[in-house]
Amino acid sequence: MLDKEVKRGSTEMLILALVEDRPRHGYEIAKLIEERSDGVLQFHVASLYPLLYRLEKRALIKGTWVEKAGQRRRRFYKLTAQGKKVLNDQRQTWADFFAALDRVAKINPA
Amino acid sequence: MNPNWNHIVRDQLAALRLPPEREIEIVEELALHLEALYEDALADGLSSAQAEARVVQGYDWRLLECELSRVERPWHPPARPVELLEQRRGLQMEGLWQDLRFGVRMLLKQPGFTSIALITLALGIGANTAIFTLLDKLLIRPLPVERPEQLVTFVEDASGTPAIFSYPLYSELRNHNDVMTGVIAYFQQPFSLSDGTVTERVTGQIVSGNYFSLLGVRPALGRFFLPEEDRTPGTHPVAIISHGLWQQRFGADTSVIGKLISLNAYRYTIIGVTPSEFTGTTRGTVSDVYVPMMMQAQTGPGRQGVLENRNAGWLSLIGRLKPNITRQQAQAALANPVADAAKIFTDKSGESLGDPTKVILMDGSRGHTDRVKDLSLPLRLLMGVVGFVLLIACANVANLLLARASVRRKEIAVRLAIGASRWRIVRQLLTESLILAAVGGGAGLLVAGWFTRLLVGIQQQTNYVPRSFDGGLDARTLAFTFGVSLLTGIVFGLAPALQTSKTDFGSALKEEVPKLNLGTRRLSLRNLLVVAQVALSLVVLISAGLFVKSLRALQAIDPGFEPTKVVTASFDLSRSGYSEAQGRQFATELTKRIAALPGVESVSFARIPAFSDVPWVGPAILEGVRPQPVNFNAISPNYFQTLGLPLVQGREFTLQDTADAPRVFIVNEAMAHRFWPGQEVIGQRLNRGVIVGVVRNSKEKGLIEDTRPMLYEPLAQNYMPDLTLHVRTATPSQTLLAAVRQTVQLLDAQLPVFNLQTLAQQKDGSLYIERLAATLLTLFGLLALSLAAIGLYGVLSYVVIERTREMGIRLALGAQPSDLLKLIIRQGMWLTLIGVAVGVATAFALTRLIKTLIFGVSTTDPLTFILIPLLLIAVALLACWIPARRAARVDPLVALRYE
Repeated sequence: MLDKEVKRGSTEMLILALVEDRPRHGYEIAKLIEERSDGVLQFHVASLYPLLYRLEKRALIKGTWVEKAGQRRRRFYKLTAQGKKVLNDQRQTWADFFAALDRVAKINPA
Repeated sequence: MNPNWNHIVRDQLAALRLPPEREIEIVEELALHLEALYEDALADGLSSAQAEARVVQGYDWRLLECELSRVERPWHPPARPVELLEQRRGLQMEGLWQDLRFGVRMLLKQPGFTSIALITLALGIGANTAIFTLLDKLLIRPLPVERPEQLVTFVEDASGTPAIFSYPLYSELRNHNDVMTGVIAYFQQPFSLSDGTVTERVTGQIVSGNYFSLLGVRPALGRFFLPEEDRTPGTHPVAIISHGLWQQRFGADTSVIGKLISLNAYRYTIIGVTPSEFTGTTRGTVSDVYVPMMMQAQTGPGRQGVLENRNAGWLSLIGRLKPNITRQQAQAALANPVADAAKIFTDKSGESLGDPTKVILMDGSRGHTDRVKDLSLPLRLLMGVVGFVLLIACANVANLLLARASVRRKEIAVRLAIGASRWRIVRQLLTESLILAAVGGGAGLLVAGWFTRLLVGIQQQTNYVPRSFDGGLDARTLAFTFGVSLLTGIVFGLAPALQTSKTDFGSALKEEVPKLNLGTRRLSLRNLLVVAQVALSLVVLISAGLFVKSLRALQAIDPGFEPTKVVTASFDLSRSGYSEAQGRQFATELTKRIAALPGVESVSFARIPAFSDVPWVGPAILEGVRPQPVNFNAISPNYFQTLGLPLVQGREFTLQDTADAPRVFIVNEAMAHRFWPGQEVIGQRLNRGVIVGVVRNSKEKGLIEDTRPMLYEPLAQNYMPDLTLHVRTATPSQTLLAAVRQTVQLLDAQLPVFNLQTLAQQKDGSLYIERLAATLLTLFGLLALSLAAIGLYGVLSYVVIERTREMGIRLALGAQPSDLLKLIIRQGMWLTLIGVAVGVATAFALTRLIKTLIFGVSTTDPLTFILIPLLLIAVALLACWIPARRAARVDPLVALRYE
């Protein structure tokens, strides 16, 4: 139960974090997650896009079609103010969570 | 050539059926993503075919379709792929099991909360189950017979009063009937049952030979009647006994078959025992013995020739419709023969006095229900009231859950933050509510068992519920309780679960307490629950107040005589084999002996005791006037002196008014006024006799009824074997009751004596329904009031805890403790007053429903509508005072460090 919840909760935070600095499109988000996690975390189309649309419905991110010269139009997602608040809350939660884990299981090599 | 990714995506997601503009966007976005992946695959050195295959086959398109559908069309999710469903079902079962275990752990961790919630629910569910059990067994449940829906009763009117038939007319209906497979006839009467040792009075039925076979009842032991036992009068003295009697009287001995018993001083052989669930065909009574119709003359001495008399109506009928015949068709087909079925008053000359009554066929699946129709409205009313009590209990538990949720905000916030869906949280919280409701329902069954036994005990004393009525819980009751518990769990659990799962986890994690004021939504739900509790409890209390006031009004009615010093004892001489001469001699001897007892001032007999609902209507025949029905009673000398009922004119009956003397009568003022207004009544002639006295009006037939015209005749001139002894004493006591019983038994040890009590007890018994309703409503009202007070106290305690810091600041800034006291009390009383306003308005609307049940008080009685709300406000003030005082004692330093 928790495992599933952690996974879903973390993916939400990952996406929000990646669109915090600047707007990104879906393929870029998936790529960045894979690269920055050294392949530990992978996102497939089947889970990425439904999640993007869900976050958009909850008004945590906002998608916009952007057409650049000589390219096909792409949909870019950026963080909303509410998304920012949720992201900060989640970061704090995870920080507390890891701190608690560390206090118990010493997971951070000192 | 590159694959057309737009095409591929559109094909794969064809089943999604999205709006066109949205479909274009999604397809375009996904196609771009796949195209980029395709480019990556080519860059990895794959051929275009391999790259395409990797992209297309590398995705679970059905899962994508499913997930997209859940986002885009949440109300029409597609069927999940079988393997997904199975996987999900497994997870769900596992999740449910986890929820249950977790829920139980959480509840055990808070024994205080859990205990209060369980007690509240047990009382609410228990009360509902108990009333439902009575309602079901007395009014709703069909007879335990084959295909009860095919049965029809022959009744006089919509109230279900049985139409009565003579035996010849019944035979005609039974033998010439194209719409029914058969018709049964029966007559309910008391029997003196003796097995040679003890004699007791039981209720039984004289039944037609096809009674059990037509109903489709099988014997628990022995057999039922044979056709030859229903042919010739007086030839087959056989009896069937009830399962209850077999167990209580014969110790469930299987050798009872063939045993001889005496019924009304005539010997019968027991041939069978009815099944335990079958108690006869009259709802509200249990028949303990059944004898064949042909033994009628032996069961009712003095009723010779009844089987042949076409005009002697005495039988109740139930028919079984042929398959595919409706009640309306049967009614039409039977119009002619049934039209002959007149309810006929006959005097001794055989003169017909009534109009033929049209017989109506009524649903007979529950047998004849006229005896319990008086209970229908009170029981339905009580069902409504206990429903209200349960709602109050639900609101209370919901409030407790909300209060508890504030403690769990952090836990829930963490789960939401790390990805639990809101539904997942709601499911967890609902599971806890349902566990509470289930355990509360279980405890409620225990409460219901105790409560039902209590109710049945009270009711049996008043003869409304049969002696061997089984108030036990059965499958139907269990199903009801299960349903109510489930519904209860959802009702009290859903709102708090939805509310709690909306936790603002930002503030929850920072351990901020949401600021509480009347405007916040969370508190407003709690406030709403308190307001609902106050309003509902006020409705119950006002109803209780009206019933209590009505009961007081009834008790204050002057019956016209002094009932406290009169003792009564009834017996039926004919059922113990007395002839008329023996009966007269017995009455004379008993009068003499009772009069000799110490403290006895006066002794008399009457056929019908005061405050009894035994009907005896006969004709008053005056010269030149159409006969009119009036109430009769046959009494012996000194009857009015014994009751303390003054004569207005003339004299009482004396020992000189014998059977051979001229016929004499006494009338009451109402009769005198109706038949001879403004005339001298003494000396007036009627029924071939003369009036010798006028007695003051009294409430002999019941306190609520209007005084009816009464005609009294001397017992000596119209012998009746069923008599009630009336004894006036200086001080009625248990000693005298015992002495009366002993005196009767010295004369005849085998004669059953019943209704041995004071007239005051008889009067109380006549107010049974009113007293029961007043008592139960008061009980439930107090329960509702307690629950509402607890609810209010809980909410305000919670407010005080949550605002402790704020109060500390207020105190630090110079506020006085009395200011805080007022602040909290104001908040509580504000909720109370809203609840009172809603409750009063609701009570105004609803109390009209009980108009027919209350007496001498308006359904909008101003005093009740003022005093009860004041009582509730006083209790609410107390409930507010305790947490308010706690608030006033807050130490500012502690408060500022709080949280």
